[in-house]
Amino acid sequence: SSSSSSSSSSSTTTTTTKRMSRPELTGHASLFYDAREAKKYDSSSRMVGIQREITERAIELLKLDGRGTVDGHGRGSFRPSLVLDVGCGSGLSGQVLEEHGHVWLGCDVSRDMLNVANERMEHKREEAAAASHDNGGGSDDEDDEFDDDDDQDADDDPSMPDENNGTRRRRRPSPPTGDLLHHDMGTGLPFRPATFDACISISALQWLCYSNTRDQFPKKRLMRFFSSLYVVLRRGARAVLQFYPETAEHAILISECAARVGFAGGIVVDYPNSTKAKKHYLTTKGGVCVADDVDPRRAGGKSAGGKRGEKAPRKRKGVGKTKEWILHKKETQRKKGKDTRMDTKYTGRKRPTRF
Amino acid sequence: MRLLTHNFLRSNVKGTENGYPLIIEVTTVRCEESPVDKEFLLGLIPKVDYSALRSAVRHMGPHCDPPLPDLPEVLPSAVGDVPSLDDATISILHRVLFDVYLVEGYLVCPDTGRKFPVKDGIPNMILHEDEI
Repeated sequence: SSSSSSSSSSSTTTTTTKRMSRPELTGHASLFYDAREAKKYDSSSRMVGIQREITERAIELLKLDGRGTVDGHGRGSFRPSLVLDVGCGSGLSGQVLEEHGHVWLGCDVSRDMLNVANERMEHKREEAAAASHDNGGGSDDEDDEFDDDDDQDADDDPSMPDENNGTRRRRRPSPPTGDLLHHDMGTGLPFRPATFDACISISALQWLCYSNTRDQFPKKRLMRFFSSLYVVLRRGARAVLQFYPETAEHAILISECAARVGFAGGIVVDYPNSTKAKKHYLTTKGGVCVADDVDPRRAGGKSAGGKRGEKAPRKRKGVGKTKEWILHKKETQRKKGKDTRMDTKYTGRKRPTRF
Repeated sequence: MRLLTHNFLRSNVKGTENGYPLIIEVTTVRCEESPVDKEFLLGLIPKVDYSALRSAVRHMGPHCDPPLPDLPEVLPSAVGDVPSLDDATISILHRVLFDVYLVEGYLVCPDTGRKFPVKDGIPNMILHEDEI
């Protein structure tokens, strides 16, 4: 769920000036997107257009199986995917996912945004019910004008069956396929492992780069989000996360955190020359670059640890774990509530030298 | 909230070991009909935790109109990775997974007893900073 204004102010990517036009700086997302802002966001045709365009592009970057099977098993056999939409906001991205025939599950911190999404789905449900009574296929192709944009940057996906999309849309009477969840992504996603076929997130990730209270640490929240995302995604599933980094450091921080938990991939930048239309997409895939029998999550952790390890041997020469170090360590463990042996005269005592 | 969503949800409050499946406390339920997508459903079945679904249906069943039928104890054995199911079972599964919504009520974490309220069909899974 993005910032109505952050898209207009994505020009801030290079400057660090704090502007009020970045809603991330004003406080928590659920406070910024109140009922009024949510309504405004959803009814602004410009915002809707931008969101739609970004979502279309994100779906294209996902390269879902459904598309691949089109030529494999004949044109008809399209398999919908189960997509997680992180920061779904008022459900604009979910609507596009629906048009592509996917089943989605959205979560967002702003209850007011979710209420708008809920209203829309309610409305759609009624429409679908009415349509099924009339038995007339609802062939609404109001979004065709946006498909034209795709052709410009559809460089890596020639199999994209545009006309097939059209027929699919017409065939479905389209009751809403989504479901909503009120949740903060910074606290880790509450799902069973290996659930989703894909994940998209439109203009939401940058919220994690800011701390709104004293006990929120951006890096911690990002790590929590990415590690839970890794678990929640099915093996080899892609995640495309579009975000507006305020500074280059934010972009680096985000991609670093993603790499650390084991995601492979990088940031795709669309329209890099334009300050306004520039869009960052973190495109990642879980568990590809590592051999099958290795748990990529661990491997990611190890390699990250390995970097630290390179420096360690030089330092460690001659310096063992001193008594002070051990006492300090035990104290911290105790503070964490862990089971720790009491300190005695034997703690940290030197062992007798053997011959 | 659909039962499909419920099937994927788990509690991640601090101190939970498994946090799954969440116990449903029902206040209001809504039923809608939607077209059956057989192929998608078959693809979905391997991902669904069947015993969790059964217990969810037992919680929700009596509140629906007409009441939900009890699901068969075990699904017919899988052929390859796609279970072979007859049309009657498929339509029941579809109804249970897609057409029944929990509108008001609570989801309760089985380990910690933390209650997640569901309002207007949207479960609130927000955690406080001390619950992480």
